[in-house]
Amino acid sequence: MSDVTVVGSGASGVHFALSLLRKGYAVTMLDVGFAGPPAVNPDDTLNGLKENLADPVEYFLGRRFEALILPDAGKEYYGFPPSKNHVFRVPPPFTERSTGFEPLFSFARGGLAEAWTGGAYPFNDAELAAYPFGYEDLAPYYDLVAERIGILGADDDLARFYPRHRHLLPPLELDEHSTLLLANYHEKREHIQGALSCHVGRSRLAVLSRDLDRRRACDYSGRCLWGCPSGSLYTPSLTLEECLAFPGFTYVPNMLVTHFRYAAGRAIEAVCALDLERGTPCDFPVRRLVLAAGTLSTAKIFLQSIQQGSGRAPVLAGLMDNRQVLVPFITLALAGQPFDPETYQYHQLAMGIVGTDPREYVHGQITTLKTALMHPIIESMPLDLKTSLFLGRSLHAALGVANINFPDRRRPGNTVAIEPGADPAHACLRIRYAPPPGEGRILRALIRRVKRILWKLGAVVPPGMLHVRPMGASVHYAGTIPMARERAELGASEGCRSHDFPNLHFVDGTCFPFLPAKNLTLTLMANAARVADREF
Amino acid sequence: MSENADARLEREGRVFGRYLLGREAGAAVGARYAAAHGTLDWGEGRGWFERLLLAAAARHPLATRACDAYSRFLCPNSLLRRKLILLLAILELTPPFYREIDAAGPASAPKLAALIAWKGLTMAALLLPALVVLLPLQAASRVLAGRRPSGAGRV
Ligand SMILES: Cc1cc2nc3c(=O)[nH]c(=O)nc-3n(C[C@H](O)[C@H](O)[C@H](O)COP(=O)(O)OP(=O)(O)OC[C@H]3O[C@@H](n4cnc5c(N)ncnc54)[C@H](O)[C@@H]3O)c2cc1C
Ligand code: SF4
Repeated sequence: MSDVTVVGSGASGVHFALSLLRKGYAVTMLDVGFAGPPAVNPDDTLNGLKENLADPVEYFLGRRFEALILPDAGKEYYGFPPSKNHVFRVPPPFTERSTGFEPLFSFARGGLAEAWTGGAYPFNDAELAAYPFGYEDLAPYYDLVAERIGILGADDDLARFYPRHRHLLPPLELDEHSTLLLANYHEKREHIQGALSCHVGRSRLAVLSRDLDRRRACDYSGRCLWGCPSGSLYTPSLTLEECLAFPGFTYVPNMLVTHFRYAAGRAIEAVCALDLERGTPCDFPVRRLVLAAGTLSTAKIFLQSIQQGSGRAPVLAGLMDNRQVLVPFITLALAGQPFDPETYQYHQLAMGIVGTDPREYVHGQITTLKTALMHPIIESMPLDLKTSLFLGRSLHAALGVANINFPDRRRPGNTVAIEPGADPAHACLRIRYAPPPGEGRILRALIRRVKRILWKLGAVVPPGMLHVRPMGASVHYAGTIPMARERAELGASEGCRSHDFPNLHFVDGTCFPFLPAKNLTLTLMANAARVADREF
Repeated sequence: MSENADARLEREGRVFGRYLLGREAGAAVGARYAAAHGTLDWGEGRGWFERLLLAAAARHPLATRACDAYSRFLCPNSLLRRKLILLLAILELTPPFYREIDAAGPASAPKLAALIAWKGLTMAALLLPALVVLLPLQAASRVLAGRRPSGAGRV
C-alpha cells in the first residue's frame, strides 16, 4: 500500500504528486486517464499541416465532422478539435443533470488543462482575502510551479494586479495585431487608465520562450488549439511523465473511482473504483486519500461515499464559476491587410478592469484571430456566404475577441448533490446554479466600458455578435467544500484537510472559498504543492 | 452511398464551389464534399420546402446566392446553409483554396468600402426576387406541415 493515494492526473493532482514524490513518499495515482493521439507531423506549421497531411479535413474537422461549427452551435466561435476528443470523453457510468449550468468534465490523462489556453495568473492579497492565508504563504509555491512548468510574461502595467513570482520567462514576440493594439494603448494610456479604469499589458502564459528540459521554446507554429507538438504550451501530462520517472510512483489508469469506504471513526480504509477495461469493481486500500478529480467529480465521489456509508445524501453549496463574455472586435486599421499565420495562437494581451473593490477586478484576455478556422465567423455574419467570405477575407487580419471574466462568490443556492440511480454505485450528479441578482446590470455596464476601451484601442465591436457564455463554460469550477480556519461540517481546514474524514485531503478547486476573475489553474497547482509541503 | 447520389452531390458541390470561389474547386473537393455526406446525418428529406430550396440552389451559382441570402435570414439552419458551410470548411483546409481564403482583400479603405457596398447591393437585388418566390412557398410548407401527423415529410 502506498503512503498516499491520489485520484486524478489533472493540473492539481500531478503537482501534488510531484511534490510528494520529491519528498520521498510512495504515491499511487488512480485515474480514468483517457489518452490522446500522438502529435502528427510535429515539425509542420499550421499551414504545413494543410499542405502535407493526406487528409487535412479529417485532421481539423474530425472523422465525423465534430469540429464543424453549424448555425445552431450557439455562437461559439470555435469547436474543440478532434485531436482533443479524448479530453472531453465521459465514461458511460458517469451521469450528470444540470440546471443553469453547462459543465465540462474531463477524464483524460492530464485532465481539462490538456485543452487549456495557458493563462497563468497568480492571485493577489485582495483576491485571497477570503482564504485562510495570504499571498506571502502561497508565493513560494507560485515560484515552484513557475519553475516547473515555465511561465512567461512582462513587468508592465498589469503587474499591479499580477504579483511577480520568480522564474518569469521573457514574453513571446507579439503578433502584428497585438502589437498595434498595445501601441494604441500606450498612446491613449492616460485616458484608458483614468476614465475607463483599465490597464492593458502582456498575458501571463504557461508557454516556453526558452527550452526547458526536453520541451522546446515556442517556434510560432500556430497550432496551439490543435495541440502543441513541441511541449512549449504546458499541459499536465508533461508533469505526469515526470512523476512516472520516480520508482515510488504507481499510476493506475482506467479506474473510475466511485466512492471511498470508511470505518466507524470515519477513517477512510479503501477507495472503490470501476475498472473500465474489465467492467469489474475493484478496491484499493488507502492510508491517506487525496481527491484531485476536479471540483465536480471530487464532489460526486465525496457525496457518494457519504451516501454509501451512512445513507445520508448531503448537499454541497457554494459552487462557483467565472461568467465569461466574448466580445468580438475589428481593428479598423488592419482591414484589408495580410497576416502572418505563424504566430502564437491564443491570447497575448490581457486587460484588467477595476472598480472600487479590488475583489471585483474584471479580467480580460485579448485573442487576435489570425489562425482560427474562419467558417464559424463567416457563417455568423448577417449576409449571404459569398459576401461574408469576402468580408471575412478582408477583415481576417483585423479580427479579435476579448474574453471578459467576472469573479464569483459562494452562494447557498448554487449546489451540487447526487440523485440515487438504479445502480447505487453510479448516482447521478445534480448541479443547480443561478447567477447573482443584478448580474445583467453589471454585465451591461461592463460591456459598455469594454466597447469604449476597444474603441480607444482602435477597434469596433460589430453589432449582434457579442456572446454571454453560459455558466459552466469557463470551466473554472470551485467552492464546494471551502477551506476555513473554523471547523465546519462539509468544510476543510487551512491545509485542505476534510473536517469530516481525518485522512482525506482535497487539492483541486473544491476548497477555494472565493473565485477571482483571473483564471484559477496556476493557483490550483500552487495550492496543491502547498498542501503537499505543509500537510505531508 | 449510391453512384447516382454521389454524382448528384459532386455536381452540387461543383456549383456551390463556383458560388463561393467564383471558379471550379476541382474533382477532389467535389469528392470530399460528397464523401462527407456519408458521415453526416442531416436528414436529406427535411420537408419539401428545404428540398426545393436545395434543388433550386444547386442549379446555378446565381441561384445559389439568391437561395443562400434568403436562407440566411429566413431559414438559417437549413440543409442548404449547412451544406454550404461544410463546403466552405473543406475549402479553408484544402490547398490551394485555403490560401485564397486567407489572402487579404483590397487594402485601400475606399476600395474595400465600395466593394462591400456593391456586394451588399447585389445581395439585396438577388434577395428580393427570392423573397417574392420563396416566402409564400415556405409559408405554405409550414401550414401543410402543421396539418400532417408528426414525422410526415421525412423520407
Ligand atoms: C478550453 C479550456 C481552456 C482553459 N483555459 C484555461 C486558462 O487559460 N487558464 C486557466 O487557469 N484555466 C483554464 N482552463 C481551466 C483548467 O483546465 C482547469 O482549471 C484545470 O484543468 C482543473 O484541473 P484539476 O486537476 O483540478 O481537474 P481536471 O482537469 O478536471 O482533472 C481531473 C482529473 O481527475 C480524473 N478523474 C475525474 N473523475 C475521476 C474519477 N471518478 N475516477 C478517477 N479519475 C477521475 C480525470 O481523469 C482527470 O485526470 C481551461 C479549460 C478549458 C476546457
Ligand atoms: S505554443 Fe503554439 S505556437 Fe508555440 S510551438 Fe506550441 S503550438 Fe506552436
